[in-house]
Amino acid sequence: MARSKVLKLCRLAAMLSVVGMSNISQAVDFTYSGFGNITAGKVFSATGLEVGFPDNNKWKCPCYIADYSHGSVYESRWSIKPESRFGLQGTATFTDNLSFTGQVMARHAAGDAEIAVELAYLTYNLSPKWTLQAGRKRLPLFFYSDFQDVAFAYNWTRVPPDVYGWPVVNYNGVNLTYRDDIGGWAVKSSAYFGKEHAKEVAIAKLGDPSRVDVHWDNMYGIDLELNRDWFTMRASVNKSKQRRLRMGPTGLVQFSPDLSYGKDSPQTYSSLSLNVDKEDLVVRTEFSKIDQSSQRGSYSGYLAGVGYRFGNFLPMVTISRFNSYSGTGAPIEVDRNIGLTLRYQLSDSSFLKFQLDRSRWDFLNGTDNTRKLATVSYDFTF
Amino acid sequence: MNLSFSKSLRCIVLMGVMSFSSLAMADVVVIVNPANTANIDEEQIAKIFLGQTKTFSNGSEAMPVDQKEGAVREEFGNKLLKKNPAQLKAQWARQIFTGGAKPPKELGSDDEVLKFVASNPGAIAYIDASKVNKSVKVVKH
Repeated sequence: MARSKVLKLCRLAAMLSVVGMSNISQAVDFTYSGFGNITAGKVFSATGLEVGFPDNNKWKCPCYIADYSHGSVYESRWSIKPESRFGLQGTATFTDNLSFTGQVMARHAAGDAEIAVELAYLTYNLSPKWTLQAGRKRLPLFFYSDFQDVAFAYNWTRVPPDVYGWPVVNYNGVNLTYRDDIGGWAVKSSAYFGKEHAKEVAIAKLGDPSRVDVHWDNMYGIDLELNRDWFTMRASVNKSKQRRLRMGPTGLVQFSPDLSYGKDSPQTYSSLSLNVDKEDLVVRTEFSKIDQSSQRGSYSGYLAGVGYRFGNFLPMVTISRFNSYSGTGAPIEVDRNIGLTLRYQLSDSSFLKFQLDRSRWDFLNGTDNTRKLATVSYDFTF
Repeated sequence: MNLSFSKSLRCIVLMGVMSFSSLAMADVVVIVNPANTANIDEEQIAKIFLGQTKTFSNGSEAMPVDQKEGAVREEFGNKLLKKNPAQLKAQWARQIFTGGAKPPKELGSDDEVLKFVASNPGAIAYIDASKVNKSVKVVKH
C-alpha cells in the first residue's frame, strides 16, 4: 500500500545481537495497513410471508440478510452494527522471499461483537513465478470471497448475498500460486488444500439458537484467473467432505449428513466470473454452482451488474439470483435481488456508497416475500 | 497578523509551485538498467507494475519501483496502467489483503529512483523525462 507505514526494527535486531540472544544481521521490515467500513442500513418496506427466518426471537423482522456468512441482518430501524467492520493487517518480511502476514477483523457477527484472526500465514517465493503459502487464509470459493471484507476494493456496499452466503470463509492449509504473462495474458492460478472446523457458525445462528459447528475436511481447490487489458475471467472449483454438529445436552452431535449416510458427505463449489473494465464501463458477472450430493441437494446462483463511471460517480445496477434444489433435483426456493448502487469517490482511499436493494424470496408454493433495504456506507483503506 | 500573513503568503507561493510543477511533470518516461536487453512493451510494463508478472520477456526477474504519491506517479498510472489513483488503490487492496502480489518498492525522489535503477540490473521505474541521465535506459516515452 502506497501509504503503508514502514517501521524498521533495526534497533531491536541490533539490541538482540548486542545481548548475544541472536545472530540476526538483517533488519526485519514490518509494514501494516488496514481497511474498514462504517455501514448503516434499514429495511424500509416489507410485504408477504414472514417465515421466521432469520430467528424472530433474536431479530425484529421483517429483515434483510446482508451477509449470511457473518450473520449480518438489518431490521426496520437504522443500524450500523450488522456490517460495519475494521481490519488491520501486518506483514513481517524476513528476507526478499520469506514473510509472515497476520490480519485481525473486528465486527458484530450475528449480533455479537467479535474479533477474529482472518489471516495468519507464511509466504515463501520459490521463484519469481511460484509462491508457496502455509497457514490460515480466506477461502477463495468465488471471485470476491477472499476480499469480501474489503468493501473499498469493490463497487457495491456488499457482495450480492445470493452468490456469497456460505458457512465457511477461512481455511487452514497450504497453497501454491503461479503468476506469469503468457501470450499477453496475465495468468494467475492457485492450488490449495486444507481444512476448516468452524465453531459457532454465524449462518446457523440465523435460524438456530443452539451452537452449530461446521467441518470441511479433505478440502482442495484450484482457481485460474486471466486478465488482458479490460477483460478479467476467473474460474474456481473447491471440493471437501462436510459435516455439521449441533450442541445438545450430551455435547456436539452430528446432524448433517444423517448418521445413517456416514460421517461426512461430499460437496463441490464451482464458479465462473467474467468482468469488464473498459474505460468507464464496468461489467460484473458471476455464476455459482454448489453440489452437496443427494443428502443435501444443490444450489445455483448468479450475479450480473453494469455500471458507468462519470468522474467521481459510479452508478451501477446489479441483479442476482439464488436457486435451491432438493436431493432429487426438485426446485425448492428462488431468491432474487435487484440493487441500485451509487458510489462516490471521496478521496483516493475512500468511497461513499448508497445502495437500494429489493429482495424477493419465492417459496414456489404460492407464498413469497419482498424486502427493500436502504444502505449508506463509508469505505476506506489506509 | 504579520505571522499569519507570511504563513498565507507562503501557502500561496507553495500552491503556485505545486501547480506549476504538476503542469511541468506531464512527461513521464519508463527507465531500466542499461544492461537490460529484454524487449519491453507497454502491456508488459503494466503487468509488471500491477504485480501480474515478476519477470521480463527474457525470463529475468523484474524489480519495479514506484515513486511516492504525486504528479509523476499519477501520470504514470493514468498513461501506462490506465487507472486513476483510487482504482489502483482498490486493485492493490485486493492483492494486499488476500495474500496476493506485493506492491512495488517505493522510493522518495527522482534521484533515488535513478540511483536504484542504475545499480540494479532488474530494476524498472519511471521518472520525469527531464531528469533522465546516461546511467539509465529509456524504454518508453
